[in-house]
Amino acid sequence: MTDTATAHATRQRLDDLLRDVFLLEPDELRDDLRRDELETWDSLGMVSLAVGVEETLGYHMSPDEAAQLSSIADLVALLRERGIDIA
Amino acid sequence: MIPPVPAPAVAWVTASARDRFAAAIYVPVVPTGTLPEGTATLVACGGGTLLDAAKAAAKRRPDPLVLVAIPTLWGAGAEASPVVVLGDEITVDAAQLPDHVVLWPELTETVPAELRRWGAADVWAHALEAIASPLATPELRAELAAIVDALAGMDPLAGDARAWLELSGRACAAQARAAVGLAHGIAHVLRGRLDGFGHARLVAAVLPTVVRRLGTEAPRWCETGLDATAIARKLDALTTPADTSAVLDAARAHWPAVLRDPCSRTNGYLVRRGELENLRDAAGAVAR
Repeated sequence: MTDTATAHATRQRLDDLLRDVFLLEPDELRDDLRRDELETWDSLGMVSLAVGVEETLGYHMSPDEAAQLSSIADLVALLRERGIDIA
Repeated sequence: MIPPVPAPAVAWVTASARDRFAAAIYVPVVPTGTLPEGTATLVACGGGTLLDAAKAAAKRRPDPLVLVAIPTLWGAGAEASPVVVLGDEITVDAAQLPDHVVLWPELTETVPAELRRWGAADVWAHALEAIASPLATPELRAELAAIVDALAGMDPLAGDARAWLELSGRACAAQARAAVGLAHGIAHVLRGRLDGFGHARLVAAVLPTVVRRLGTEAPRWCETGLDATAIARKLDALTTPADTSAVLDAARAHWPAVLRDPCSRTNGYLVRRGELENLRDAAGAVAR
């Protein structure tokens, strides 16, 4: 698989994860979705997100990192900073 | 048996324990849920629901009320937990802990075998779901591992009533410092929706399957070194395949609520939309 294809596959896995963590319908997910728009992105949602990211992408997100996220775009940026190749 | 407490005292006592209670403790029994004016001490003797009602009454009363809790069976561990469950309302407050706990193992002697097994499953569930919880610290995991070790050598039908009561309280107090998981999430959502299934029976029905999944999916479980398959086999003896099937079948209609339950959301692995099929596959593989 090319790097681009790998990055897209990783993005697909992340999107599937986010739909499951935040109980979103497929058309509800977008990068600029903010935490304050989602009732499921509460303290328990942060826990689920951290567990899901570790299971799906192998990255152990600290509680501080999870608490500082305010949008999906923030999460994608954090994962890229941590070396995860994601489209 | 009861420590020195302020007078006047009254008691709420579950029906199955009333005769033994009256023969041993000289505190007037009043209808559960009532508190005569001026009551200074409430002795609550019963299961988790009765003890939670007593904890809530003691906490919410404007005048101080000393609470003495006497559990009649292991499982809920309500006597040792700051958590109160009243219907759909769950509150966590250290002020809700009873002032005194009295363990009276003889009260469990007349409890039917299936209730002892289901209660034992609830004790196991508190320890195992908390040990896999993403909220548990390494220190708490070590404490829970000691509880799991002790449980591994015990049989809910063969004596050791005091040990079961003690471990029940320890497991419940420990899980309150982290969280429980999917078995509790399913039990909370299905409570009252399946005839004959109370909390402990619901937990017992799904716990072996959830533990098998924890063993392969939960990152923190994998660090404990616990043998999920061996533990699940022991837990299989606390329920029946028919109960497991009935609960998983009933869960299908309520799965969106299970996904939203706070306990499901702190499970040791992420509970995804398709997890019910994974549970059914895991349960089916054992049945075959």
